[in-house]
Amino acid sequence: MQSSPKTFQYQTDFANYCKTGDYISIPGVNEKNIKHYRRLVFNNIYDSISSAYPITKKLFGKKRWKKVVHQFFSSQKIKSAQIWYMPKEFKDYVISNEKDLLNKYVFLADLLQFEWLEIEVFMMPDEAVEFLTDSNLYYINPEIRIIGVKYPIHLKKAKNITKHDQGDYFISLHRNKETGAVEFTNLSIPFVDVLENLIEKPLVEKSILNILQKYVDETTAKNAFYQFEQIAIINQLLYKK
Amino acid sequence: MVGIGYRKDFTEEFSESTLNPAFIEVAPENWINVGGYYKKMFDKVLEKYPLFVHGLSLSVGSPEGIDVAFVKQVKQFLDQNKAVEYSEHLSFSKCENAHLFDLLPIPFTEDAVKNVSKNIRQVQDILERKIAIEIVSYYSPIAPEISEIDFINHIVSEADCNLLLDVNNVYVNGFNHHYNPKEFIPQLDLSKVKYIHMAGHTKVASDLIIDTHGENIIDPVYDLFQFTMELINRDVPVLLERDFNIPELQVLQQEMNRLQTIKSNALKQHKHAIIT
Repeated sequence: MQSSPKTFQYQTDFANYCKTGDYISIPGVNEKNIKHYRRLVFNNIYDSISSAYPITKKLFGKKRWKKVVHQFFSSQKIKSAQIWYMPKEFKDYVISNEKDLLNKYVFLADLLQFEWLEIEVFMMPDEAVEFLTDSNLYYINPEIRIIGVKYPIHLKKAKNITKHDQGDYFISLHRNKETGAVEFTNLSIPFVDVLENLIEKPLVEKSILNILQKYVDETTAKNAFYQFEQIAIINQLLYKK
Repeated sequence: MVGIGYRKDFTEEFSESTLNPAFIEVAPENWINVGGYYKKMFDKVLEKYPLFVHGLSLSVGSPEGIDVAFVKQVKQFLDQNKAVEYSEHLSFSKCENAHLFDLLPIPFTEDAVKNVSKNIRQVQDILERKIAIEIVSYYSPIAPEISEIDFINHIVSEADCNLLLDVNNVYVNGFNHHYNPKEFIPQLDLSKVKYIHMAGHTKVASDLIIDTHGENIIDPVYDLFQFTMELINRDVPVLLERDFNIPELQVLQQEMNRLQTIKSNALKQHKHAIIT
């Protein structure tokens, strides 16, 4: 059995007040004190979203940032029971609804996606690398996300990015198993191809070079791989048994 | 047995400090499906301390009922981490299936009693264990039809659940709503108290205290704790909550020591009274 319509309505009115700040009279309520609920509820949402998107917040400035957080919270039904995951819903909301902001900041969707993925990869459940007997195989760190973006939000300060920077950029974000820190790597298309193949299964050097040779000649492929491999092993993007 | 809320904020200090709680408490919402650095540190802490779990988003007061999928995730978390106790708040934090991430007061009405009791029973069925439900602090009643004490007692009885007695919350509510906490506490079914919370609060106006968990516990709340322990007269686990404005961990240890001393003395005194 659910609450009676009257009790349900009072709870809904109160919850809506906390979300929007618009108060509809409820019997027995201390109107002075319930302002604290609105303040506490909103501040909690505001702080969580602000710490998830520090670069976007700085870009917007305080006033615009507060307005968009309010717009999100007052209009959306937050589905996640976990507050650390809630900012993902904010990102999805902005990308789907805030057309003016997306027009003003052409790289906004990319920036939000990048900032969110840093959190998602930092927090994601642990995934172990399953090493096989062949010691020549390369393995990808399974705690990884690869994204394609239209603007170099990982290479330039947000305020300096313009329409002219538009292109095809690829980034991997992975979690260093030792430190837990998230590290990102700017990727060319051939290396995206390599990493996507490594996600499917571990590969020996020859197979990796074959993938690269779809794009460049053998010598260039070898040089590029040896350079990439050195860094990727150190920062735990790749593993070798 | 006095424990402390384990927070990501003091992960590093925690493992290296002289802090010596009897157990730790976490919110499952902060740990479900979480890996990486924090999980590694959490696992280390779990090797040393028993785990009490205190939820935030269960929302037993939700008019639309509980989120069964979420409760199943909680069950998995409790089982995986061998949780000693699971408690939640007598409040709602989700309405029309939208989370608000705060503990909103449920209207003190008989039909809310029925709804909340049904929700708690359903949770207990899924979890296959009783939960302890916490009396929350509140800053305004919402359309009340019955008294707060009747509301709580009816739910504890109808849901057949345990009680988490947050002594600071009762103090805060007594101050905010002009009643004597020492008259309120004896009216609860104290045989159901499975767990006690203690915390500091912030007075934001001459007539309003907010339950911030951001200050040290004040003497009148220690006094109410002693009063409560003498009434309960059993060794109930006690948790020190500190969520904001975290001091040196040594200060938290001093607070835990004081709570343990008060509890031991209260139980000793009672034993002495029986013997003499």
